[in-house]
Amino acid sequence: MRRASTSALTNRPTAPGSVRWAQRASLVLAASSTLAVFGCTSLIQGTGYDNNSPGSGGSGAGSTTGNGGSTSNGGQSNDCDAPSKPIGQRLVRLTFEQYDNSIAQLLGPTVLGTSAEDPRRREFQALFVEGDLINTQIFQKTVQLGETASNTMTAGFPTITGCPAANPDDACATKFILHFAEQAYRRPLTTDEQTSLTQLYTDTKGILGTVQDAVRETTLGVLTAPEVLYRTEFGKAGADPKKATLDGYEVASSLSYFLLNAPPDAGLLAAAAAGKLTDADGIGKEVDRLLALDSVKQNLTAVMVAYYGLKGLDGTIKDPGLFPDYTVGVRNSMYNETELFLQDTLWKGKLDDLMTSRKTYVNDTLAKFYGVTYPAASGTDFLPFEFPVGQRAGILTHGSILSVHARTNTTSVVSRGLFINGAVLCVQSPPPPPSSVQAQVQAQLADMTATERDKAHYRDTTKPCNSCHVGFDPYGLVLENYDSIGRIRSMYSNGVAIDTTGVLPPGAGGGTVPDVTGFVNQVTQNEVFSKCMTSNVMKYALADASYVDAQDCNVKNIHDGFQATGKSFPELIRQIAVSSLISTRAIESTP
Amino acid sequence: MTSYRFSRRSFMSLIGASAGLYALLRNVEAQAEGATSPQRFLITHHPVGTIYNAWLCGGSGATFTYSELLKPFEDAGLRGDATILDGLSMASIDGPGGGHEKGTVIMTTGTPTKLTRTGQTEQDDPMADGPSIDQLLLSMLPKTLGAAPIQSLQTLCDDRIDHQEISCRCLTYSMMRRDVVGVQGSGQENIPIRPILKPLDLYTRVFGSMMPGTVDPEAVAKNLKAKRSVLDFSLRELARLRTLAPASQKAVIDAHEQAIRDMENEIQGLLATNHDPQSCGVASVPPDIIGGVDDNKDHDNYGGKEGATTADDPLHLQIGQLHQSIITAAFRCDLTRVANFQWSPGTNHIAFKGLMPGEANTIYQHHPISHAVAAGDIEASAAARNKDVTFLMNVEKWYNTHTAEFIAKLKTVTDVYGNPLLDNTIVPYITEVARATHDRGPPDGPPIPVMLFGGKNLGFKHGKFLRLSTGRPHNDLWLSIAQAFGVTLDQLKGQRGPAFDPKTYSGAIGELFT
Repeated sequence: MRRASTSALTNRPTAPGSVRWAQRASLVLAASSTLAVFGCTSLIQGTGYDNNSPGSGGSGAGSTTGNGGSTSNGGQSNDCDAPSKPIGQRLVRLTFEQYDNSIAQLLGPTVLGTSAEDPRRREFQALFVEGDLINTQIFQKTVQLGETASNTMTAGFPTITGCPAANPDDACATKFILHFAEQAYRRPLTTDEQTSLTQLYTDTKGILGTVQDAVRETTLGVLTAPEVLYRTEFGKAGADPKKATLDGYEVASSLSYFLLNAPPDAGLLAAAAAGKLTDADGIGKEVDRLLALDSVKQNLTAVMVAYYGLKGLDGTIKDPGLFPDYTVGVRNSMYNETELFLQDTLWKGKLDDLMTSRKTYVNDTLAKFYGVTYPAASGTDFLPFEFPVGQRAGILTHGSILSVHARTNTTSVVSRGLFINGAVLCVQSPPPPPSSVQAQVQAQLADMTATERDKAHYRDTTKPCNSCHVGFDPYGLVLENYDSIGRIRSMYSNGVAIDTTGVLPPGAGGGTVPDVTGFVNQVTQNEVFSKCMTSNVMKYALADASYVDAQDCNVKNIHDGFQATGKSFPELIRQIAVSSLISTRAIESTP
Repeated sequence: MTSYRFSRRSFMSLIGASAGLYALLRNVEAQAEGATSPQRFLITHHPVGTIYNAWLCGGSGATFTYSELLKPFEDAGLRGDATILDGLSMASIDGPGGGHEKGTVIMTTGTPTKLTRTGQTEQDDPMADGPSIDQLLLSMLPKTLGAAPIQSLQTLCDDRIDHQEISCRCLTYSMMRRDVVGVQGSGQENIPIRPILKPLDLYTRVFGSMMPGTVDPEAVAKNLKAKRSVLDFSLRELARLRTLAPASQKAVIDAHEQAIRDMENEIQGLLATNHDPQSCGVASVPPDIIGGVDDNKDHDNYGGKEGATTADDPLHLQIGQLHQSIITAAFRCDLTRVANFQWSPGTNHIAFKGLMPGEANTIYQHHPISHAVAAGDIEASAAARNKDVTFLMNVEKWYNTHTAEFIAKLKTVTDVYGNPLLDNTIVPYITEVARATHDRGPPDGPPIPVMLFGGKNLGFKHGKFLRLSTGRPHNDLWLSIAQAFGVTLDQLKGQRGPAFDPKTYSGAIGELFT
């Protein structure tokens, strides 16, 4: 029988005599805890990609690309696998957020209103969550967004077009449409495109009867044109018939949607027009300019917020009877802490600081929650703060991450382990256990006296569980001294002291670490973390989740360049942005 | 922060003078021309199976007594319009996925699952390896089922699930496939067609921004023609892109082109069809309300935490009735001929008040309570039933009562040809598992409970309780319906996805037609 709680929810006692199912959340543990009968090593060789961010969703969503045939060797060797098959010439669909930003740049930031995507729900790999094909559903949504935007032409006609409100003529309307389309297409129009647009204007004016209505419909046509909805990566062949070099406008779009999540700005378009985006030097100058912009920093920080799955914190439920301190205010403060930490560390520190830095930001609410002294005599603002040695270090010890990857009433070694498996080490998560072992799962879960350490020990010493669980349980065990809402603790509720030792699998460099500090020190020193981050940021930049592998030589080359130039996040971005991976594409052979 | 709310506006954006006589005129014209009512297909779904011994009717054939759980259908006057099917099973069609998750996918696709989605907490959310039966039949019957302006409508009254799973909140899967990578590796999935949650969005999907009774057909037609020009422009530009793109991008461009053509077809149909909401039976624009919307988090309220502070059932009913009225109107005016109506996912969190016996004021969530019962509890006799099982029965009665109201309405509402909608509409009432313990029919447990309504003019002879042989494939239901629409098993075989296994069908259920 559960102890009485002050919860507003109705808590039901166990009905005597009935066999109760364990908590559904426990099935998460169970499902991940007990395994398929095949060995887990085969899963590490998967070539799959994650349709979502490594840290998105709830607990346990930690899968990313698998290593292409071997586990990480801890970065001690210069070996790498041959470069993955290069990305071929292709069309890349704009995500809805990119489309919203494109419309905002054309018609103003408020035209879509509440139809725009919620930036707080951004996915790390939005393209693969939404779908990379424009099917009927995506097209319908696109048309409706386009209509919402184009309908603003009705009230704002003279301001938007520059044509008179009364008796505008075809010449003015056509001039506006062609200029608008050039901005929307992100490059000069071809003659055929101009003709086609003029025809649309003429057709719609013939039906609707007025210049204003025709301009509105033609604007809709532009906003839903394939030239807007995709960016092309076709390029032109050069000396090497198998390689196409993207033209300046294609490079401009590729860079801008990578760095800004928005269309190219005037500077990029001018560089494209002047032919300055055809080599690494020219591209490098533009990249350096862009990396100094606040808008780029904000966008890339938001990318990393999505990477670590911070949106999972919104609405994370905890048992209020067990965790009355876990208020909405605390939860919001945790989100802000991690966002500020990322903003600061990404742009002022080294990449490895994400794992190891004791510096963070706290407000008065969070300081009280963490049990530390707020760094000011009074006030409520977020201020820089450094934890004492041994308390917390790096993003893995933030209340936000720890709360998302835990259950409503207790921690979850499996969830935290799988999260780290994917987000820090780039190891593909194994499939859930098959139904044939569910009875074992239920039996373990029914044992309410076992600690997480006990359960992990059972899984790690029992077949078939152990073949997979030894591969990620240790990452959750090193975090066991942080409870379900991220507070530090030294013993379980039954008085047993918490042991944070982790026996690390080869993917993390092997050996035994005493706690999470030992773990993060190891994976930063052996470069497993930075290689994984390199791989994932490349996936994001190239909008191709299946492409990169942490052992891939392309990843190694980028990583080596980043290591040689300061090991910072901006430098990682720069290495990717100026590489040929952005500006060249493979030409497929024609049968 | 901007909160996410997708405001849908269609391409019909003008209102004008009343055109209420339009439908009446069209009706008269149609009858004069000898037109007949179109065939229609409506899948209805309720979650979490049944309590078999309270579902099972007494007797068989035409002489039977309705069970406690199914009595609401008899009370609604549907005895002569319904067949109850006992004995069906989905157990032989399997694959990765959770009970409700794969149950939902397999229920409408009849195809084993192969891949589960990555990036979720539980990794048990399967993708479909075949189209759903409604989309399959649509693709095979473009001149009948597919001849309405809107190809199909998908509706859901509440979106909340356990752990981000898509499968439980989607009944429809497209004929189109795409490359994916799941937990198990690379492959393909049939693209899910996600349902509409908000009745106002459904209304807008069907009627645009027209206010009932205020439609100016000329103005609407002009706008539609202008939109058609916009789509023609898109097709022109896409054709130009096709000449520049490498062959590897053919599938991308094909999908886009199909999407544009689908929208063009819809406009063509709307130009030829009455779409005044009032004449179709919608008196007013629905309020801007929505049922539960999933927040993409984990919801772990089990093991004593099935309670809630707020009851969902009043809003749940309101949303359901609004969806039902718009589907009815869309059928009435022949704006669509294929639809589905899903109350809530198998892994739902709908909170009902007063349905726990002896507790008039307590509120509990449906799917979480279903995890509090075991097979023995479900199989207990009426005298030995525990409160949780009785709660589940009361929830099922709630769903049955309000589905019966919907189907009874289809019996009284006539289409523009003057015939009751139900007579030409086949309406299966299905569920994704046989019972709360997730089994999906013999030999794992009791049969999947199924009812079939309507379609008298397509050959169905109702008013029966059919005791089929134990373990009869659930796919035989779909085969029977396909046959009624004029599609044979051989034709189905040629159409189904690569996982189609003829062993999952045994044949049409002949007793439905005799």
